[in-house]
Amino acid sequence: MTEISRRDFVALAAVAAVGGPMAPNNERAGAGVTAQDIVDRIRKSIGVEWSNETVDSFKAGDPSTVVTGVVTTSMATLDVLQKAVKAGANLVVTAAPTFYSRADLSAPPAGRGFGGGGAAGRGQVPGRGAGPAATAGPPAASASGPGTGASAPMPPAPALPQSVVPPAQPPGAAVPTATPPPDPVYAGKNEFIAKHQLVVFRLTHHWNQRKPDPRARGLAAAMNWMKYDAGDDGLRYEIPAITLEALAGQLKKNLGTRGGIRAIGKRTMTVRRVGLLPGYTMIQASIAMLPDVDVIVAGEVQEWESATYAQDVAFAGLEKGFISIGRVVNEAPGMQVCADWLKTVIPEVPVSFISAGDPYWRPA
Amino acid sequence: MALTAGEVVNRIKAVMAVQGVQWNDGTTRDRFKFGGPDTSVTGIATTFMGTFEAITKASELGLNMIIPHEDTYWNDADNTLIAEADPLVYQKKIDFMTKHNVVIFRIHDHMHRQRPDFMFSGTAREVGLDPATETAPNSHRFVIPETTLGELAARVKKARGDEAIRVVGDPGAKVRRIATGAGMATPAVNAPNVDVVIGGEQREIEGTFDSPEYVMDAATLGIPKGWIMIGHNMSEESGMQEMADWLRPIVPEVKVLHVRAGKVYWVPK
Repeated sequence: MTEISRRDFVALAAVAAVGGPMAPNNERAGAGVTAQDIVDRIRKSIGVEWSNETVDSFKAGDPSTVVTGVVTTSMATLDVLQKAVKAGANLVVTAAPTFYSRADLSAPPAGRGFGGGGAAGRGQVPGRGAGPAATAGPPAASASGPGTGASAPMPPAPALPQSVVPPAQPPGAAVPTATPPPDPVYAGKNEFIAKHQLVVFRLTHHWNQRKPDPRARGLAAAMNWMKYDAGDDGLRYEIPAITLEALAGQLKKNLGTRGGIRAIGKRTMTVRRVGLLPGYTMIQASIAMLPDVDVIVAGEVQEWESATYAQDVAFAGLEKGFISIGRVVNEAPGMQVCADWLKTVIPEVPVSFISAGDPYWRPA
Repeated sequence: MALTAGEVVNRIKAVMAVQGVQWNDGTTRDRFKFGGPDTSVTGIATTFMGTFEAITKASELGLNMIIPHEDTYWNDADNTLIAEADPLVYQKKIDFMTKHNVVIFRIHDHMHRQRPDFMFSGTAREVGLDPATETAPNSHRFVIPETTLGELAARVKKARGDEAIRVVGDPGAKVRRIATGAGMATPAVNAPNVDVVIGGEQREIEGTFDSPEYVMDAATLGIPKGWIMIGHNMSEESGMQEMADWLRPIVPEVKVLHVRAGKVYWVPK
C-alpha cells in the first residue's frame, strides 16, 4: 500500500513539474475544488485510458459541489455515507454500486421484487445463456396446481399420467399491475444524500485496470505479504508454510470479514504458494492459476464454476485449496490503496478510507 | 433387452410432455454430457451436479447413469474445451467415467418448467419450511409466526446441518414473510410484502438488483429485511431427491437413487 503511494507520488510529482494534474488551470483559484474537478484529475492521472462507456460515473449529487473531504469505500452503503458525513467528507468514491444494481439508478426498477433481481444474475454471466425457464423468478401468482410438496416427508411420486400439472407459465406472465408503494430504502438513502448534499462517484472499472491490481496489492499489504511477492503481476505470493485452515482464519481476521469467507480443500494441507483472483472471476481464471499455486484466494466466483472445480480437484486427492472472501470484502483493500493514491492527486482536501465491512454474518 | 440411456431419456421426454412440459431440443443444458444413448444403464443416480464425487459414489453403488441438474465440466454450457485446459483433474474424471461406462444426461431447464418446480419445493423442505405456511401452491412465499432474522437463520442452519450459510441484515429484525429461491433464481428482497429471502446464491453486486446492499441499508434505516444464502448446491440438491422419486416409476427396470454431489464450502473459525 505505502509502496504504491510512494511510487505514484514520485510519478505524479514528475508530471506536476511539467504542468500535469497537480497544476490544473481550469479551476477557479480560491473557490475550492469541486467534485467534477476531482474526477477530472482522476481521469488525467489514473494511468488508464478513460472510457465513458463504463459504470464509472456520478451516481448521486451535484458534480459542481465544492468538496470538503473525500471518502473512498468498497460500497457506499447508508452506514458508510453516515460515517463519511461524520468525518466531514461530502464526496464518496465507491467501488460497488450505490443503488443496488449495475444500472445504479436512484429510483427502484419497475415491478420491484417480482421475479426480477437476483434472477437476472445468471443471464448476465458471460457464457451462461439466459434460459428463460431457468432465469425467471417465481411468478407472483401462479395458476392453480398441486401443492409444492415442500414437506418434511418426501412427497409421493406422481402417478402417471398426471394431467393436473398445469403447463409452465411463460416468464413475466405474472407481473403485477398494481403500483407498488414507494420503496422506503431508496427514499431513506436519497433523503440522506440530499440533506447532506453528498456527491457519490463510482470508480471501479478504471481503478481495477491499474497494474498491479490494487485489490491484490491492498490484500497483500493487509496480510503483510508484500515481501513475499512472487510474480510480476502482483497476484502471486510465496508465504511461509501455513495450513489452509490457518490461512483462512488469518484472512478472516486481517480483512475484517465475518460470515462471507468460505473455503474448499483439505484443512490440514500446507500452503506456500498463494494466487489471488480479485473481483468476480470465471472458471478460466481458476483453471489457469490453480495448477501453479497451492491455494487461490478469490473475491467472488460462481458455485457451478470455480467452486465445483476446486471441489473436484480436492476430491481427487490433490492438495489444492480455494478460498472465497467475498466481492465487497475484496474491494475494500483496493479502495484503501485508492485513498492513498487520491491523497497525492488532491492534496487540498482530506482523503480517508471507510470500509463497508463484510455484508454477511453466520447464524449461531 | 437392456435398458439404454436413450430409452430413459425418451421416457423422461414423454412423461414431461404428458405433464405439460414439451421438450425443447434447443437447450444446450439438457443433453448428454458423457456417453450417449446407446449406453446400457445399470442404475440411475440423480444429483445436483456432475461432480467427481457424485460420479464416484454412483459408480460404487452400481449406478452408471448420472442425471445432474447442473454442469459436469465447471461451466454452464459444459464446454469441454474449457475443462480440457485443466491439467489437474479433468483427465482423471474422464478416465474414471470411461472405465466405469458412465453416461451423463443433464436435466435443468425442463425441471424448472415443471410444476411444482422440485428445486423450489426442495429448498423449502431443506430449510425446514412447513408447506402449510405457503401462501398458495407454487407461490414460493411462506408466512410463518413472527420471529427474528437471527432465530430464523439459526433454524435454517440447524435444519440444513451446514455451516456455510451467509446472512445479511439485522439479526434482531422481526420477520415473518419469506420468499424462497433456488440456485441463482433467487428473488429480489425489495418486494414490499417480503421480509426475508432464502435462496441459493446470487452475485453480490452488479446484478439487476443487489439484495445484500439493499438489506444492509434497510438495517441502517430500521426496516426489517433479511437475506439468507444457503448456497447453490444446498438449495438445489434436495430437489434432485424429488427428481429421483419422479423418475422411479418411469424406469422400473433399474434402481434410481439420489446421490449428493458433496459439500462445497467449509468456513474458518
